[in-house]
Amino acid sequence: MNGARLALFTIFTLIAQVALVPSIAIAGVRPDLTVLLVVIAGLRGGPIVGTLTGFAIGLLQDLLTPETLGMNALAKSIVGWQVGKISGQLALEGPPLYLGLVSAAVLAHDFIYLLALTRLDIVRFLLTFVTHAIPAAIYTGIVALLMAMLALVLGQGALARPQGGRNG
Amino acid sequence: MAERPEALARLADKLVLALCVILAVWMMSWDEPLRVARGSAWAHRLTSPMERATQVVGELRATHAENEGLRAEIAALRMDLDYLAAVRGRIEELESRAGFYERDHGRLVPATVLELIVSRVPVQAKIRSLTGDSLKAWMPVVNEHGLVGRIRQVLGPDEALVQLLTEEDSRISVEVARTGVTGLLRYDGRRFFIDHVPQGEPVAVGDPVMSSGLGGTVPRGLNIGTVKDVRADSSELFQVVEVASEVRFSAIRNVFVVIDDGPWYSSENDFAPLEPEDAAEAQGPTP
Repeated sequence: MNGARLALFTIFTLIAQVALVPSIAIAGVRPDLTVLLVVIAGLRGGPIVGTLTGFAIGLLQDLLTPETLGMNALAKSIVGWQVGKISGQLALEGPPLYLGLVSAAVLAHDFIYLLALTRLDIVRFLLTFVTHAIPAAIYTGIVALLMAMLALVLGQGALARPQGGRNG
Repeated sequence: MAERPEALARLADKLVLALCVILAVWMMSWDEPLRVARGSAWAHRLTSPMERATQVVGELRATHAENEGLRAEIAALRMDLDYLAAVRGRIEELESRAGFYERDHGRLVPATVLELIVSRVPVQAKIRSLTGDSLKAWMPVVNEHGLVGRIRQVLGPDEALVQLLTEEDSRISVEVARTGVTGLLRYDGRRFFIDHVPQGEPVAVGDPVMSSGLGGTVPRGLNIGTVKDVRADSSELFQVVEVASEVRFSAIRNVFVVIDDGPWYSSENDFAPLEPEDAAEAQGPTP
């Protein structure tokens, strides 16, 4: 995935997150496609690409709601870096990898993001984490699973992890 | 030595992460109003090219729609123009059959008055064409108020002597525009009259008077003035119709010569240019 394609995917993902995702929300729970993109970037490009992609898309997301400026960038940078770091050590392949990895990434992302947003207000943090972050992680994992299966069926392999992985 | 680049590569991702984290934390450390202000400004900077592009596209669409409307309007106007041209052709044909003159009053050429020849009142004027167009005898001369006179004699390529309407033997056929009553315009030294208007012909004070085109020396429709007074005496054969002209004959400075050959010109009206000594004599006394 070269830089131009990644930038294009970033913009499309952001537009989809803002314009399409609200229409597929279930009881207010929305999948986080931006984290999904960061995971894909980290898996395919390694920790540097994952970090930069996370920072860029996080910053763009923050610009939509300037009150949270820096929070999404921080959370997604760390998630992108971590996914990139572990991409070469994963035992799983294919759709199951995405279900677990994306769900874990969303949880990690929301953990950091909500800590910053609630300013370490533990009660508020826990309440929001349980009512929003966990359902969102499951929903995003399912969306990632479906997308991975679709990619497999179509034979594109766009979501496939490069052979041998990266150690960063 | 080979271990150093490998170590750098291992550190690179951590450095990038550290940089991103520092940047993010730095932004988070701002007060909320500052975050909002800067975030909004950056967002505006990012989206302004798109906004501008959207605006340009919108303007292009509006222009395109306006052009479509204008094209339709032009097409409709062309149809109207064609229709009017056909109507005009029919009118001219009918006028031609009825013996009327053409409606074309010719082309106006500006001229300046060089001299006024006065005999109690100005009766002739020497003029010079400002465009170099050649002048001919009997070409009508007008100003912004109406008919001034006709070229009596050509003095040179661009100079001519104009017989004003105030000269005694300057008789032109005129017409009361409202009713079509015709007669001969005459100046008695103080006032204009229309001669030969029979009793009972409809003429009223205030009626516009214009050249009738009859007689073939002046095209029809040039403004003369308005009817100032009408006296109908049953013992007389004709009415006495007084006309007020708006032309100030003693103050004409700039005039226009109607130069295009119209049907009002006929060879029998042509005057040969004056001989040099006659021309000098014709210039005569000036006011």
